[in-house]
Amino acid sequence: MGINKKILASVFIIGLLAFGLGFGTYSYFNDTETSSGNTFSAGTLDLKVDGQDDGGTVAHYSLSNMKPGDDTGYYKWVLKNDGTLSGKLSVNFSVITNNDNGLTEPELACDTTGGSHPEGELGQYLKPGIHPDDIPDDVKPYVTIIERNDTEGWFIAEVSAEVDTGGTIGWGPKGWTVPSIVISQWQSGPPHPWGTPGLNGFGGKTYTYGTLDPGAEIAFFFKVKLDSNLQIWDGTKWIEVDDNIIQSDSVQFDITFRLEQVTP
Amino acid sequence: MKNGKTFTSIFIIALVLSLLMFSANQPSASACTLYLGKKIKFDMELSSNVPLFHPTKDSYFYPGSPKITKNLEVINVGDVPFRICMFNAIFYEDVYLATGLQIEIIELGTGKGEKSHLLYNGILNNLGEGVEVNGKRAIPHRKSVTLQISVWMPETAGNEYQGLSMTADIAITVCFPPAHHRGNK
Repeated sequence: MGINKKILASVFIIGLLAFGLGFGTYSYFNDTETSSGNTFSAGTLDLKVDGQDDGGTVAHYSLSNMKPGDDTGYYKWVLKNDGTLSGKLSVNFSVITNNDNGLTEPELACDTTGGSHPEGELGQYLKPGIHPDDIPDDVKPYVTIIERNDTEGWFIAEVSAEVDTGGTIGWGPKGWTVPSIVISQWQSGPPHPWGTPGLNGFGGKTYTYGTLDPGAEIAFFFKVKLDSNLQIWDGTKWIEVDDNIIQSDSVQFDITFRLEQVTP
Repeated sequence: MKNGKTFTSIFIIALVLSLLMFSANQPSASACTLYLGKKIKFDMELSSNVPLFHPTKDSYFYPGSPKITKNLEVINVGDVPFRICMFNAIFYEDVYLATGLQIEIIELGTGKGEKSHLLYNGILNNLGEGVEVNGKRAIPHRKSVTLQISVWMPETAGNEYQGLSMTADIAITVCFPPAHHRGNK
């Protein structure tokens, strides 16, 4: 093989290698552009009860040492939506637990339940609401009943001034001492064979306020009272009961506040 | 001598081809390259330089929240046609949020009876690894295609996403050749 042929062979091999290099790194043309700085944020639902966070959404209650004519006065919780999303605010009462706490000597004369938990009677005599006719006359001008059910024995009313309609639950401005939206339960006869459900009737029930927007605050009010003269419905009429039947009795329950996402 | 001429011709052809292919492999935001001996520009632009998504102008995400939809135009400012071929994303801050968001990207039709084409529908987080897609239309020089991008949080998302916030850079890649033969990942 001559020198020229060797040179040509070398040139051919180099060319072939160069082709292989180019072929091996072949790819598509491409171009990339970026949409930068897109921000995605998940909202928050954060209910604060009296400024408290976790653990403050459940209020544990025990009512005891009460006597006929007692009034607890209004309990009040200020509820704030501290999140970024609107939420549906509601309050739930747990089952009301009635404790007899033993039987005192006067109680023995009228209480035949044996005196052990959970056969206390206090819950059924604690009245969480009043009949519309029992709203004080000086308060009535400020009260507008917006819904009333005589069969089930309840009404919902709006109160335009800071006046007390009587024992009830409800919602109101955080600066008020009484509710401005009243939910009153007064049932005094059928379909409840034992008469007024009392506080026991609240057991397991949920009351919804509505939508609480971010940053908004509302107060929840609750109070119960005992009549001076305890009565029970016997199916046809009210009858007197020995007031001693509630001696040493107590009730326990939880109130749970809940803020739920509003479904679109 | 005849053999010498043959070898020289083969060498020159091989050299030209290798140069052509090597230069085609250089990606660039404004790729000027040789294409069949002609200097061409392979380039695209997005219609918007500002972030598409922001909670102050949209809203916060929550389980079952409505889709937040934005349009983004991809414009061919080069000389050769292209197709949408890949999406990528880089996430910052609360990157876990990307696992709780869905994204849907649709290549809209041109309005002349052309149907829209779904490019991707899945978890936003997947864009972090890059998702190859099949653009339906070859976009010619000076034309554009509109991408409809929707993001939402499914109803199944839980409280673990509450309050999370992240930033995402979403990259769109277009490719040549325009032949519709690329496979989806």
